[in-house]
Amino acid sequence: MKGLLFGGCSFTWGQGLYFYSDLPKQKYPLNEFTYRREELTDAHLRFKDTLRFPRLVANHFNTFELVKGQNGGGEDETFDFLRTVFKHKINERHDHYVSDNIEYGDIEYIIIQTSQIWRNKFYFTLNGKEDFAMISLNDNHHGYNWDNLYKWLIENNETIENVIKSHLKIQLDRFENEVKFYEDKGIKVRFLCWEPDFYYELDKYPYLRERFVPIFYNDVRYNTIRKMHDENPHLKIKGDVAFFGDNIPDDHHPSKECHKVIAESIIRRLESEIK
Amino acid sequence: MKGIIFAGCSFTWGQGLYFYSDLPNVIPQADNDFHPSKVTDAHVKYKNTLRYPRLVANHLDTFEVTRKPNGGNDKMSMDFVNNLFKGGSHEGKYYIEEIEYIIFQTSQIVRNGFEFVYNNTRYNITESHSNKPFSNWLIQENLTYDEWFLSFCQQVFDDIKNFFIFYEEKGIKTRILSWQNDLVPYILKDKFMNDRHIKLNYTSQEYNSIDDLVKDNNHMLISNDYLNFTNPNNDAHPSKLCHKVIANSIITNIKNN
Repeated sequence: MKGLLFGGCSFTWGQGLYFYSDLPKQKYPLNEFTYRREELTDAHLRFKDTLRFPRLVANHFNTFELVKGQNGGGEDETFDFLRTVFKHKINERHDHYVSDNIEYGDIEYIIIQTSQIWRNKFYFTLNGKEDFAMISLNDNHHGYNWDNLYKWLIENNETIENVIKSHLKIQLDRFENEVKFYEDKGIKVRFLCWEPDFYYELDKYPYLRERFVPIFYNDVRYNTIRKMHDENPHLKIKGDVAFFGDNIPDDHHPSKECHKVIAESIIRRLESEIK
Repeated sequence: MKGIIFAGCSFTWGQGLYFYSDLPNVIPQADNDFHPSKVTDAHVKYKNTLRYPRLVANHLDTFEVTRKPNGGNDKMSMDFVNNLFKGGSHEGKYYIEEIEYIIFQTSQIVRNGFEFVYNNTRYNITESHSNKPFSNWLIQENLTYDEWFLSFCQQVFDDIKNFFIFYEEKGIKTRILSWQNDLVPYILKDKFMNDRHIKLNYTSQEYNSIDDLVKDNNHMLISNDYLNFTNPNNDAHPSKLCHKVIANSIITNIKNN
């Protein structure tokens, strides 16, 4: 098998997996939403690479994996990363994503883990200038640049409910177009979901639905990592009492076992296609 | 387990392992005519998955640190390790307490270079020892080539041993793996080094060096790997199987200790 390219957020990157190592200099996060690169050593980073699901899948298929160097992000970053992978020479500014120069023919599968939809920019034009905002699905939608978005809503007699609907459609349409682009290049694209937003819309997108990878844990099918975590809190680092005992990092990212579960689900899907 | 540093030459780098991939643009090239430009980033990533450092690290549930460029010699291998702890390498910065083992693969001893002064000129010979100033220098020093070579081997051996002692005293375990046989007699008669010598095990035989392993099993070279290739590349680097044999031998050694 040729290479496997993985796109996703901190779940794919493997945030928190270094807490499973014997390495010194570990600092637990202040809370589950904090991340400080400067507190991690190169050894921590290399160690977490060995436990995250991209490496586990690649090892199973005796091939290599490629993952974004920088932690975090949403689909905006994921698709930017994919473009950078294949067009590195004309996109040098994204070296923090990847420094390798890869051709379409080098990659067998792209596996995308979708993140939280509000992390992707919603673009609008206010006073003749293009602007963008992050639409939080919580906090009364008061995400980044809410004030300008609110002005735009008033000027255009729009409601936030319509914007959310429109944002969701824009994201799904973009997602489908990107998947088709890489499939046309001969690369098979599959994806799994952390949050349910993408999954709920899949009935309207049969092309995407065919490429969706559910996760199986203890013979139960989960369509999102969120649902699996809700029903199995030990699959989050902060719930992994079996490993950490009383000294658990406050980190909501997938546990070591969770990465294995995700890897096994991807392997199961890919194996069925290869057969 | 903490991390493992693997230091060595093209044998550790995994030269030629990309020939086992399904990747496009794999260009046949002989081992003595290696051009990095003919190897793509995908080839490099692929060969990393088959080389013994990754196999050992995977088995022991940890990470490996290796030198990014291909090739090298024993002196460069020692510099590589030293620089990892000084933060002066492309491979990142590591702390002593983050590393469990250093696995040191010896290369061709003559690659280490030898400095001498003849007629007020400083020379450094590597690889070819047949140049005129060196021959004249031997005569000047009243040395035969064999006498010089023995002392040269002793010097390289001492350098590696001192390097091992330095890191053992800091709490990192060291192991030596021999490609060629030049240093093997020195290792075998030195308890400290012999205790750290990786013996290669294959089909119930034990070998002191990769050269000895290959002598009895020529399919351990890519150029003779007719199990995987109808027409193997002219590449005398360790085959995929040879990397597995080396990895298994290192794992056995680590587990037994």
